[in-house]
Amino acid sequence: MNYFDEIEDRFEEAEFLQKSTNKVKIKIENWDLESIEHNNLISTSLRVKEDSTFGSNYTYGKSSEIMEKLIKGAEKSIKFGKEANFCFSSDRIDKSSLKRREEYENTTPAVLFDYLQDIMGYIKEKQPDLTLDIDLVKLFDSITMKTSQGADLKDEISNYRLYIGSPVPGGGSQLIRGFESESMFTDLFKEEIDELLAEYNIAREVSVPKTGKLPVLFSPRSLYFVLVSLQAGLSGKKIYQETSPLIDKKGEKIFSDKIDITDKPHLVKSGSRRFFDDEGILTSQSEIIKEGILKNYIYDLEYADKLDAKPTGHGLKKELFSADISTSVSPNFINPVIEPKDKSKNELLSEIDKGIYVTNVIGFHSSNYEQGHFSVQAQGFNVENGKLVGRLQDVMIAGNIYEDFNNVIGVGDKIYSNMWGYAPYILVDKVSVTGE
Amino acid sequence: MKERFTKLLSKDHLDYGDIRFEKNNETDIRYEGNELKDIKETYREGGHIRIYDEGSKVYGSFSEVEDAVQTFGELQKLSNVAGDFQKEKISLKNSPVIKDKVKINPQHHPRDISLSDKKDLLKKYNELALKQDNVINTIFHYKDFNSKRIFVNSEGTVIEYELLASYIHGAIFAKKGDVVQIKGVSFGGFPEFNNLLNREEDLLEKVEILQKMLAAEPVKAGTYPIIVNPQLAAVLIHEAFGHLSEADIIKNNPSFIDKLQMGKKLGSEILNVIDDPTIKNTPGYYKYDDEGQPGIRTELIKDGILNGRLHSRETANIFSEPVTGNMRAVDCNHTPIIRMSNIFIDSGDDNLQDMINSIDKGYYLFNSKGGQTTGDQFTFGAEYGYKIVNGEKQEMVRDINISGELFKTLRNITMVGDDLTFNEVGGCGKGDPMQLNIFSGKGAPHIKIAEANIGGR
Repeated sequence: MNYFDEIEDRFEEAEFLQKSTNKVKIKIENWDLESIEHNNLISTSLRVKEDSTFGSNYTYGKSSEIMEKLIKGAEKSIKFGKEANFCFSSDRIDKSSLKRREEYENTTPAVLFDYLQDIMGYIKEKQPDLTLDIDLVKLFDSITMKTSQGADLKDEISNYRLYIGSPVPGGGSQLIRGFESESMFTDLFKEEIDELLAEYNIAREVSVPKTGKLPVLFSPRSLYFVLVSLQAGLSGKKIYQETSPLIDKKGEKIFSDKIDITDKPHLVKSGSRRFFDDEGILTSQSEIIKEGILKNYIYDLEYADKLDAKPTGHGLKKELFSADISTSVSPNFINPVIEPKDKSKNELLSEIDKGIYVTNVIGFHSSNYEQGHFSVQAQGFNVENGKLVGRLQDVMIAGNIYEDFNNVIGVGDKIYSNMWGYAPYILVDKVSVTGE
Repeated sequence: MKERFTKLLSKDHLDYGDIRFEKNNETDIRYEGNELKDIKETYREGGHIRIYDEGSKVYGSFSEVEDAVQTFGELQKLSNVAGDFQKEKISLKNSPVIKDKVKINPQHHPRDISLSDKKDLLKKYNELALKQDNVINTIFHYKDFNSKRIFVNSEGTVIEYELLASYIHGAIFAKKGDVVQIKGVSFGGFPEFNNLLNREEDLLEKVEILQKMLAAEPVKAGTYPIIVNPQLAAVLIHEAFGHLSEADIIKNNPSFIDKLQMGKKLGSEILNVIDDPTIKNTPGYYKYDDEGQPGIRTELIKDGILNGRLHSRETANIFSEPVTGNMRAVDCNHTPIIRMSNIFIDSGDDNLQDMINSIDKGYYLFNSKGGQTTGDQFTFGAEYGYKIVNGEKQEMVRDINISGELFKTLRNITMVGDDLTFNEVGGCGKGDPMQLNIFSGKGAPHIKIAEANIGGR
């Protein structure tokens, strides 16, 4: 951060964001160690303004030569840059934690391997014929930001991730369970593993439903497609560009009244946890959907300014397929949570006479998802009389989240992480299913 | 630098080690609607180390040359722990020592074009699209990427090589009533920058199609015979088959190893699929991969029979098959993984009209909107299509997604056209987290699939 004084001398206004990432990932494939990855990288983003003109640049590394190139690149960018009327952040916060850092450093590779041995031992005893794949990741992100407006922010995030999966027998799709935590796991997740093994055994048979409008139980993991579509609709950027289907829908009912969605940026166990966004704006819990009614849009600095709204702390360097220092800031959920309700997974399943249980959806981004459309391959199971009767093959589901998620029958009582946030199981009626 | 890396790798008795160091220059310019959203020229450097020792594999990235020693030491420590856990010891197929320098010398290098001229070019296309009827928004993105790489391994190989590309990607949004449709535009310079110039007519053709998409009906979900245009067929073979020809995907999956034994019949004798990094002026052209191996042409399916597979030195050793030089890393933050170079379905004998005539009720589908695979299951979107009724091409349809299972789909390819075409711009997503490799090309002629599962909206 010593470079910031020089940066302040060279630009009217500047925002300096630096992320240091330490990552160890142990990959197990078919019961054996596949690889260990260890990265220790520093990345920096510089956004600058002169006479309301905006420029930016990014780099990796921290030497003075690298920093000089970063600054020169930003100087060139600003010569051509766009007009920008927003102000960089002036917020201040320090969430760094020596204790968290020490805990992370004390979680040695030997600790990780011991835990893996325990997980593998439990599964081996129950299902030795399974092709077992596991990823165990430990991550430590240290984020600092300074701006010429006086912002001074620090955060340290430790995150542990565990993915347990197996290709279905005879096929290629994966059955997966994913977990995350701010400290090293101690739980072996036996309940979830038992459930996965039960699914594995049912997946030996293929069972395809008849084409029609059927009840569909969506797993938490599959529901990322709803969160990504909804995010596009709520984004101040898409509203400004007039491509959002949710323009002027604030206060209107867009989903079933069983659906509540809250953005929870401070959820401790989440690796997406953030006390400030990538523009240094402090984050806070925000109601997105309450009883199906749209409550709030999400803004970064730029689109809050353009739409005369307040920035909501949702400016992240994140897009659908990239989330690193090179990605431009845009409005994104920080950690959206579809709130749990009162039904267990088995209670939801028991409400299905003929329908399907979707564990994952494939090809979601090929649909016009910003409009809420989905037309995806459904991976999961055929359900008859509340029981899984075999795995799906060549089955597609299609519709629009703003129509189909008005037909919610029930919502599960527990949330799990998916690629975009957290969700419970959700049973939706009358979804278009293409099967036999 | 080469000497420092060579010394580092030789100081301990590793089974094997390599270091790749990159100096990358990149230009990014992005318009969204009338706004210039982003314009920057970026320089970054960094390296990646791989160590194979005591039968296990550890790797990691570093940001600056000075960090290489520390990273190497940390990886060695991990390697010591890993060895105890490893059951099946990993080893690499033998390889000759190579010392070479490979430069790309295009006639029109993007570094010779000013940032201002690149911006003006993109602006011109963006403005042209924006002023067309019903167009409500655009995203136009110019990018060039020049990566100068040094590869050094513990066996004595030292290779200097580079990657170069420039391209323009656009998405044009049009709206009529409540209907919003999006049409993609791609111009590629692999490696010639001049390929991006004077493309106004191509752009207007795409906008004309977009206008028709606004009036088209959504496709009706069901199972149909389909004809797939070359751009979409190229994505199909890439997504559905190509990824399963990458040995790292299948090596630890017993059911795929069984299904993909060499000599297995996968399709009819009209089907030939090839991966070839030696075709110049294509996205996937290269001499050496990021494991220091020469890239070679591999016949993956020959006359319908599985004939080859894409390999690293590690997987070639496991399968006792030839090393193919397909280990590619998108940049210094990532380890190389097995990736297609230029995959294509080779030309057949059928013509398009015969294909259309052969269908009573089906669809003729155009262009990819992206795809995804998990194992042998795939899904991809088509931008638009036409109904075929009684051998005649009829009205346009939209909102089309196709899904299926690889082996069934390959068996269902019943006609292969004589019009092989390569897609202008490369692209392939693989890895965790997803890494987009622009240096991955694909091609195909028209093909007919006798039965395909189509999901509508």
